[in-house]
Amino acid sequence: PSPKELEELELLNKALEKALKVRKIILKTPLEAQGATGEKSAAVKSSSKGVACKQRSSHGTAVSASDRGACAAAESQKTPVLSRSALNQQQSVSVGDSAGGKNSVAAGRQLLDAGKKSCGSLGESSRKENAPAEGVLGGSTSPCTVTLQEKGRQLKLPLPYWKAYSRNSRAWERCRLCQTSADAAAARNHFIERIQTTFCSPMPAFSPAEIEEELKVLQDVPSLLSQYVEAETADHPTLQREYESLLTLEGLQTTVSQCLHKLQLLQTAVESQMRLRPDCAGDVGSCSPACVPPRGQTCDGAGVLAVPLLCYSSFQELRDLFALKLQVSMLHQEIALQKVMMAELLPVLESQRYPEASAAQLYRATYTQLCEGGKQFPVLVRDELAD
Amino acid sequence: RALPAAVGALCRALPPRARPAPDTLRRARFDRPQASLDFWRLLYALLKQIHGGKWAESDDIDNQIRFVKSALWYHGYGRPELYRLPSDGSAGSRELLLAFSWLLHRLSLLEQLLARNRVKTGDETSVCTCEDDLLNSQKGLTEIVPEYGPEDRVDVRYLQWLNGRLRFQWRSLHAQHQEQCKLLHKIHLFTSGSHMDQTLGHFSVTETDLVRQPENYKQLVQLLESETMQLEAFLEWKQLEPVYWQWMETVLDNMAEEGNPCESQDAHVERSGLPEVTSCCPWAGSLTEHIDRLSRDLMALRDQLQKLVTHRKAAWCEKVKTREEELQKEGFPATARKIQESVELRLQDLTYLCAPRKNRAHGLRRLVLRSKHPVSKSGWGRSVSQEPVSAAGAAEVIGELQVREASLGRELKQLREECRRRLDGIAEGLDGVICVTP
Repeated sequence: PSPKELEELELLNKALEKALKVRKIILKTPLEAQGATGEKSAAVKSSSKGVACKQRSSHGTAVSASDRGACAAAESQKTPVLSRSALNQQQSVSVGDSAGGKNSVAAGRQLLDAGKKSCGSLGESSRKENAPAEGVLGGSTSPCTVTLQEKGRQLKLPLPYWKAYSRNSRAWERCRLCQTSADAAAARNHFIERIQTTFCSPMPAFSPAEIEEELKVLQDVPSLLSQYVEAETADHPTLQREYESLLTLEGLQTTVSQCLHKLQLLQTAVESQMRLRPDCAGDVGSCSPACVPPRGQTCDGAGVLAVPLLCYSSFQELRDLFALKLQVSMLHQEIALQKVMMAELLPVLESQRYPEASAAQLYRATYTQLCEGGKQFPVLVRDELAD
Repeated sequence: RALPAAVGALCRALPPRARPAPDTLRRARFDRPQASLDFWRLLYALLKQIHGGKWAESDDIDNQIRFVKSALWYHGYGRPELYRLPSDGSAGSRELLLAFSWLLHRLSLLEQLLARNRVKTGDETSVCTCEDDLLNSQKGLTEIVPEYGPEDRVDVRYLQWLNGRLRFQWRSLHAQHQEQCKLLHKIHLFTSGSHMDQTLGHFSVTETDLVRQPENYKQLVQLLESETMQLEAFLEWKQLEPVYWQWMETVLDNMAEEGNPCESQDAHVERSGLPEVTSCCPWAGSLTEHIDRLSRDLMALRDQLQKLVTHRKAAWCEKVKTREEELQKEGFPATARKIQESVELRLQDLTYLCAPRKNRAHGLRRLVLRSKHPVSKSGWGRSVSQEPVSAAGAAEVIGELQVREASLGRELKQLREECRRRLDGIAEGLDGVICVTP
């Protein structure tokens, strides 16, 4: 198989591994004795979706070890199982699911069955109500577990972790609520004022950190503004609408000039900062910190200590979020690449530093790469009439 | 006295990777030997945790000092004496102590480091739209890429192939992310109601695995415990803070007595003697480029708006001229005022977007599945004035990402158009060939 195919196989394997990882969670070992006996009878029926197996309490950890062994065997066996045809089923693995773990399990099952391995009984054989106590390996093993779906709500964190976690949480909360005492604030501010009087006399209006932060804010403004402007270029039926549009446009004008003014200030600040710059700094390259928070946050130091959460309300939202993050990353990279390619390819063409014979092809390739993102080709037509 | 306790608490509140012995600060105060070297290293470790990037070797004091000086300049530290300290780290521990104290305040160093190093027990992701650390990692990549000399010929098809591969990787990455989303969502959904911390509500992948195999997570528990101790040290520090700042003032007093005022004047002469080498400095260069691009964009917008407004205003005046009385009767002025207010509100939204946002935190956040109903009480059943959690909503973040996406897309488009223009020019130079664009 070509390197590309091997790569694709590898990716598919990885996706499968992940699905199996979740499966492993489903193939949960009977951890706490207290939970086990209760679940034994409860988990008898296999639900129509997902994998559900009866738990064999007597075997305890021995079974779980062999389960894992069985599963591990399945995993290591699955690699040679995958064939070209299996690649077509890749779609089913990554498609959004409808119910529970059905899709990934089903897809996994299909791929395993493709090789007709004995361990492919994960799921199917669970139809049997009473899993016979036959040999664990080699036979049709029905790993005994309970689905995460069924029991997930009743899981409990182990005590040592929970203790450490809750103590930790409370400590964070106390720190967050902790106010700087008036004495401390006074003493601190006094010191800071004094030390700042010893700074170089005309300090630029913005520190380099502030300049970068301001630019970060401004960088999306032209795009936003142009969207607003676009919205107002349409024709307006009513007088009110026209008036509104006019006012909006004038407001946008104000915003634009404010931003331009800000940019000038920032440019001046850059130049004055350059004069102060320690002359060794050139070697360090970009000093930009990894996401340094803006100055505003220093006043609100404790705000940073709250628990940082990102709440999503649906599966679709989560997917959109990830997709967009990736898209933004990609665009950053594309832009960087575009700039580099422009700097390297265009001079070659402009100065004609290439073998004559390949002029047309080179031009076409460069055009495709630089103007179409490598996706579409221009057509080059020989100018016959020149003869 | 309270000072050793304060300094002790301060040291224990710093992260383990950059935790000095309390003695280091004391020695720095009295300019003891070796104090400067240790302090440079301390500052390096602290600032590196904020700035990221590759860490230099521990004996590479030269580069470490360069970095610290750059970082201090970056944050706006203006004491010239510090920048003049020798690069072998042999002197100046009191200056460094001052710089350290200034950073404590300026960057909220303790709080920032605590937040950045927070023990992760959840499924974490970042929400800021900052450019990834691609640029930093690219420095390492130049070693992998073969160097081509000027005589070497590179086939452009190799470039095309590489580009294709890159696209493929992006697509696979996307597929894997989507897969990951599915799995995350499942786990969050299935474990809803299990977590005793009600602000979270459900387990993360880590916690679910923890339930399965608690023995694997002993280190996590230890990390939580040591972080708790660090937090308690922070609380101690907050109690004893005033003593520390008073102590720092005595340092300033000493230095004022000893220092020579004429030195600072030399600094000015020196500094302004340096030419404005914006071209040689990559930082200034890229910022200036950025500013120029934004300016050009905005100026084009300004011109467009100018034309549009003039045109529209003329048209408006025309329309209104003849109908003034009629409009008065219809109560138009009142309507006009209402329209003014609504336009102002709309534009306020815009200025809000154009202003720096204080609560847009960078850094990692824990993903939590929450239905749209707001959680009415905090996880611990107390009523607090401020939320104990800083919860960003995915919908909000998606909106911001879309703004960023539009802006980047626009930039890419502009770059491509520039290429088109230049290539059109080149096409005219090609004999006998006409280019038909797709």
